[in-house]
Formats: sequence, structure tokens, C-alpha cells
Amino acid sequence: MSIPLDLKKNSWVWHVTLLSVVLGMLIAAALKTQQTFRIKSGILTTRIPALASALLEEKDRSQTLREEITGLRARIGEYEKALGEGGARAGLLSSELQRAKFLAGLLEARGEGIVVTLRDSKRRAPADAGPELLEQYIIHDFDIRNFVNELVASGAEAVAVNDQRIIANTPIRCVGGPIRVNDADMTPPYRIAAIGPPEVMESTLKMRGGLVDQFRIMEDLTDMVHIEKKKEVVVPTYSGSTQFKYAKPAEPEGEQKK
Amino acid sequence: MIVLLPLMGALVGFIVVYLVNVPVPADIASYLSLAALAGLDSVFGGIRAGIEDKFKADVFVSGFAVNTLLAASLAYLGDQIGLDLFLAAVVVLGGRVFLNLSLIRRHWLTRIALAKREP
Repeated sequence: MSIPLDLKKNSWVWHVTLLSVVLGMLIAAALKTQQTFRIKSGILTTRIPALASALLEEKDRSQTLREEITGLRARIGEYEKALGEGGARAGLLSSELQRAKFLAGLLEARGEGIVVTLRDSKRRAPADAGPELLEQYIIHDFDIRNFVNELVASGAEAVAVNDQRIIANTPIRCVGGPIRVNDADMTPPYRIAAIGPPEVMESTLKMRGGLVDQFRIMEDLTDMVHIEKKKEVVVPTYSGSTQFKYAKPAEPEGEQKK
Repeated sequence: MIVLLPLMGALVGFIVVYLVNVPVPADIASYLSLAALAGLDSVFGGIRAGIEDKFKADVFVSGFAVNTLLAASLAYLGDQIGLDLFLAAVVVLGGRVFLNLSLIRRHWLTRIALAKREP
């Protein structure tokens, strides 16, 4: 059935069309705003229960941070006092402290190294792919762990994943969608920056039977890994909590409590 | 199908604004969504009126402008005085959109039935 475009009779269509343009604009603006708002805030939902749990988590975190700040301030005061009393010994202590902090990952590190970028495959999985095959197309927490481990094993001295410094007790694990490193949730691409011997690290990753060679070997998804050697790699300091609740330093031997 | 024209118009407007980055402050974002819903209601109302031969251009145009602004400002007022008028607007406008859509659908169905009977 076709209705003749009688302009006289159907003049309303033109009015409606005109305002439909405005309507389209309104919808686009609303959609765009919501999208940018979600991306910026990092909160992907506006549902109340999810927001409430996010809020509680943040409250918890800010509480710990506040406690940490208080502790750090007190410690600064102590140091300053010691500096006033010290002299040569204070200088020695301070340099020793810097060394220890560097070792612990509490100082920024720079040097030559490589950057490994892991991202989900851009390729489409075949239409009949089951969940097991589909999983091959995305980066998992164990992929990041494997790469970090291999980099450290081949001489990396400082490693960070998306600016999260890997320290002695850094967990890397899947938390549903994102992957959490230290306290930070991250989404692809995952940029693993490692300071160390670039040639050795690269060839370790790329050697036959190595991590890259074996990576998703069934599907040939080599676009998920990208390795780049760099003259200077910057690995930031560890920014998470440095508070210990359970572990306490043991008394060194021969130095009993008085 | 003349009804495709408004649809295409909406698509054009949508694409234009979507490609151009319009900065909207986050605190009026929800009012903007509400205004969009009011606009949707007006357009469907206009189509329905047109199909029923009751269409009046002045009513339609002023309705569109006033409804969008009114919906947004009512919601704003509600926020200011601690009442969720936003929800009221969503329920009323959403209900009207559904009502109008169903009336439009019925109208087309009747027309199709008539067209089949005639030849």
C-alpha cells in the first residue's frame, strides 16, 4: 500500500519531521553526555545498589588513606627531629633509606628496557565459537602474570602494569570485567613497562617455545601482543597502601629486647 | 511511507550532534535526557494527531518547546525542593509515548486491513 505524498493534506509530516531533527539532536546530546560522564567517572552504571557498593568501597579506601597520611606525617616529624640531632650518621641513614626505598619500589625508576602491550584481539571470533574459544580473544589476569613473571626472570629490575608498580606483594587478579593490580582496576590495553636488559628480555619473550611463540597458538592471535624496546622506560613508584596490619618486623638475632 | 520522513529527520539530527562534540555539564545531564523523552512524546503525539487528522501546527510546535522545557524545569524544581518529580515526568511521558505508539500502530493496522479489502 502506498500513500501519495500529498503535501497539502500531509503538511503535518513536515512539521513533525522538522521537530524530529531537533528531537534527534536532543537524544544525541543526552546519549553523548551520559557516555562521557560514565567514562570520566569510571562508574559504568547508574543503578543504585552498584553505586552504593562503589561508594562504600571508596569510603573504606579514603579511610585507610587518611590513616596512612597521619602515620606518614608523624614519621616525617620523627625524621626531622633525628636530622637535627644526627649529623654524619644522619647522612648515612638517609642514603641507606633511599636504597631501601628503591629496592622496595617506593622510588620512581628510569632506565632502558621494554614495553609490552597486551590488548584484546581486534579480530572477530568465528560465529559458532563457544565460550572456551571466545575466551582466547581477550587478555586474562594470568596472561599479565605470565608476562610479568617472564620479564622479571629475564632480568627486569623494575616493572609496572599500567603505572601500577609491581612490588613484592603485588597481586594481579581478575575481578570480573577488569583486572586488578595492587588496588587499581584496569581495562585493556595493559602496558607492561620493564626496566632491564632490553635484548635479553625481548629474546626471552620471543624465543621459540617462549611466551609469545606459545601465545594463543591455536588461533594465531598475534595482534594481542606488542613488544617495543625503549631507550628510557619510566616505572612509577608504588602508590598503594604501605601499611602492615599483621606482619611485624622480627627482632634481629642477638639483639634481644631489653 | 511518509512516516519514514520524521525518522530520517531524527537520524540526521542525531548524527549531526553525535559527531560534533557538545559539552554538557554533568549536573544537567539528567534533565537533558528528560527533555529528550518529552520531545519523543511530542513527536509521537504529533504523528498520532496527524494520522487522526487533528493536527494543528501551532499546538504541536508550542507543545514540543514547552513540554521539553517544562519537563526539565519541573525535574529541576523537584530536585531543589527534595521531591522526585523526575520520576513523575518519566512515568507520565513514558506512558504517553506507549499510548501514542499503540494508537499509531492500530491506525496503520486498520489502514492495511482496509487496503486489502478494497481491491
